[in-house]
Amino acid sequence: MSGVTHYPGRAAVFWLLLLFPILGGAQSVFAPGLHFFGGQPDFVLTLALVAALLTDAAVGSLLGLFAGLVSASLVGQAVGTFLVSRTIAGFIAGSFTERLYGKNWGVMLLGVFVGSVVADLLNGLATPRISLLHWLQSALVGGTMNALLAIPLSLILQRCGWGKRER
Amino acid sequence: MGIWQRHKRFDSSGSRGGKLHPAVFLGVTLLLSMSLGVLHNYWDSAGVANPVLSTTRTLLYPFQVASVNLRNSVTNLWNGFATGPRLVDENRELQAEVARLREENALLRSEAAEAVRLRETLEFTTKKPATPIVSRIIGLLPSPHFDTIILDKGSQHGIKKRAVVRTPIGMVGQVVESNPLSAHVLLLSDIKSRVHVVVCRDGKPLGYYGIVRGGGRDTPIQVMYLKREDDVRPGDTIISSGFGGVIPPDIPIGTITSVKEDSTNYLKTGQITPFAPQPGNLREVLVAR
Repeated sequence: MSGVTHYPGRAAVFWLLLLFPILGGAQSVFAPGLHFFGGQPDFVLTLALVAALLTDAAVGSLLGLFAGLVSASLVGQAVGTFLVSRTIAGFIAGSFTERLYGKNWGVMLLGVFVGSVVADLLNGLATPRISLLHWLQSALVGGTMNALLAIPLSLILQRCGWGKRER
Repeated sequence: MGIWQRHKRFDSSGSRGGKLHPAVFLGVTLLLSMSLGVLHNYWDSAGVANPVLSTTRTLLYPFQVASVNLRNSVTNLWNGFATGPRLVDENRELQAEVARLREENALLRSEAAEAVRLRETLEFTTKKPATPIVSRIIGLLPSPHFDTIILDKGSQHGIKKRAVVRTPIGMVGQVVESNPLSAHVLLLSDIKSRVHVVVCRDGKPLGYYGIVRGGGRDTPIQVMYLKREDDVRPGDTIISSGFGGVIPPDIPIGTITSVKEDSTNYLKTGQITPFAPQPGNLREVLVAR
């Protein structure tokens, strides 16, 4: 590698920014139908985590902040908690790709799962609402669903040109 | 060339560029997140809408409406395919009839209870309630831990914060945020929801007061702080008491399904089944002006 990193181009950024509201709309209509064992998928968070895994930690934290803003707008409560937890989760997912090969499916699944669980647990710690055990179950179920959702989202994002390349 | 290329720490010649360390970047974004959170709380306490969230919601609004339309189209298509158009039409007519009769029944019950109270107090005043705003649900329980729904009407249509949201047969929740185009409603089942209520039997208030509290998703709604000597039974109904000045009286809430004494033996707690349908079955609601 010569060391020059090419980040996503304008077209890829445009498609990513368009995907956020599309998945935000889907989150508030379709996600409750997938509510099992106390957990449900978080389309917006998964998009941010997958995009972070395909770039780096700095971009990841920014995408996490953006995902937090969309989620807080949808939920209407615990705004600061959503923003902070998603920012940290995006940073963690981005850090995965700086230390491991982010385009590997195993790393992708693990990164999204860990990022989702961290985001959910941070939410639970900052705004405790239900028992810790229930929350943990919800975080694990939600994290698993998000990890499964990461594969198609990753394919879509890469198709849109999102991803860092070393030349 | 990528738009962030100039942020590379080392360029191809090996000299140091202008890119921030990821930890510094995280610190900056976290500071921004916390500032937005603090500002949101400040604006909320001052009764001012958060401009950042309002803008985001306005941008999200068309996508939410499109998602709801897509879901409804798919549902209608499936219903038409599975049961046939005749049954769908018949079902729609019957549902409309049931809704009309339920509304009429709820109105009659409310008027009967009101008449009893008026007779008792000999204060004959006439009330003309304002017409409620009919609103469609465009967002439903976006997070597993917050029982909120989003309506397709907001402050531009006259929906105010703390307005009561209901169906013809019972209370659904309360508006917690009203944006120009949409409004957020905290459902009765949310863990933060509290409503002061009175127990009724055969449509007559018994004078036993309690507080209805949500327990979160998958957990029954409870009526708490009933006195031990209160003769509350399964099958009794719960209506809002009007105490507290936020939620008006006589709004039907639910039926008590079980009652038990709490661990202190001084108070009773009951579980209730709300009159309003489950959030997943709701399509439209009425918002009080």
